[in-house]
Amino acid sequence: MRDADKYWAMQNLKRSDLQTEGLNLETLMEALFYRDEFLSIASHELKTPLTTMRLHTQVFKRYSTKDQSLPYSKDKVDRLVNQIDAQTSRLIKLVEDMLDISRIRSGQLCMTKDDFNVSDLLHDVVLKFSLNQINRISLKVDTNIFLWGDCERVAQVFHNIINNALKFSKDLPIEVTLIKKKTKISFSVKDQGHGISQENQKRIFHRFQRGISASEVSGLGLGLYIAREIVESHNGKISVKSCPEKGSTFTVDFISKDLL
Amino acid sequence: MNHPICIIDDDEDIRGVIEYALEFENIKTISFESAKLAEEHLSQLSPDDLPSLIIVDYMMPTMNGVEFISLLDEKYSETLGKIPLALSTGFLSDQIKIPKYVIKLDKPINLQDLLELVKKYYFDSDYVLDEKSRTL
Ligand SMILES: Nc1ncnc2c1ncn2[C@@H]1O[C@H](COP(=O)(O)OP(=O)(O)OP(=O)(O)O)[C@@H](O)[C@H]1O
Ligand SMILES: [Mg+2]
Repeated sequence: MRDADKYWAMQNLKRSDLQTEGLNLETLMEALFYRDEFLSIASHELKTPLTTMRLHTQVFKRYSTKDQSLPYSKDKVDRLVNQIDAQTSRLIKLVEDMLDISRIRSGQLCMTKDDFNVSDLLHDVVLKFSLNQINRISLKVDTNIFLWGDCERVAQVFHNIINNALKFSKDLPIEVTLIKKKTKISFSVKDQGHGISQENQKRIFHRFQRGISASEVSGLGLGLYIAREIVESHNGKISVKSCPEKGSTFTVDFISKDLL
Repeated sequence: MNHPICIIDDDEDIRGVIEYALEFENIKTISFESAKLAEEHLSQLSPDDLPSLIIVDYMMPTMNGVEFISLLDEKYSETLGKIPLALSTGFLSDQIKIPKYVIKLDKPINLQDLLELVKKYYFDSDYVLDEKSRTL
């Protein structure tokens, strides 16, 4: 948390009020600060896709009410429709993440477990990224690894971690691996991005915690928190190794069903 | 000849849709994906080629919209600093102070508001800010 911001949050609360209540000032200030920051980032994240969709729709409306036809080429229409479709997905993902957070808080993040092929699942997850992003991913996957778990939730873990690696390493390539060693199934994603300081490595698995300001790289700080919850309810472990400026490696270890 | 409207926003789709909406009204635009690029380009222009209005996004990497506005004020007060400015934003905390002369354009941007704002400056490009109004 930036000191200047913390200072501001502090200024706005009456110290004496809290002390008489016997509450920990520092903890409360932090909570307030993160709530405000969350609201500010969330409104930005929601309003950016809404701006594109709103303006496109209003341009259409303006011209159709004027009975003027728009000089659209097929190419342009394709591009517009794809853009609006992508923005809609962005909004849906955001709302889903927020719902997941509230499900986790109320202990209602349900898992429907089954025996499924994680190797195939990982391929499916990768294929959902854009072509540009796929070109940056080098995949090393042992075939036919099976896992006992909720395949949609595990897909979400894969997606969140890969997405971060792509997002936080500009245009550089990333490595995604899935291997099985004896009873351990390890999924890992290595990037050459700006890395994460020792101090931040502890924070980032908590909700709303980000290691970078929202104006640098967008995001709400929910992805890793959700991933950790899912991994833990599969009795797995999620961890990170990182060297600032050199890159990061996120690893998820699951235990194969043979041992459960 | 009218002077173009300058758009600074790091979101490619937003730049695209604004350019597009203005294109239909026969309004010329120039856009930049960062405040830094905008500064580099705009500072090279001769006074006759300056844009008639700058619309700058608040939340951008490296240099945000408010920092860009102060930069113009401090470094280019006699040139770029005189161009009317609009700050587009989805949320501004009370702690962020922006100069009074800056026009606020709320996101999600409404086409009607955008066109009214842009047309006012585009079709009346002799408009230069009254120096007195440029105070906090
Ligand atoms: N591969 C990475 N390289 C560098 N920093 C990372 C990486 N992955 C995560 N981080 C840091 O951890 C923080 C938390 O990550 P998390 O996925 O929870 O949130 P986010 O990506 O910021 O937002 P969201 O996932 O909700 O869209 C990030 O803001 C970033 O600072
Ligand atoms: Mg993330």
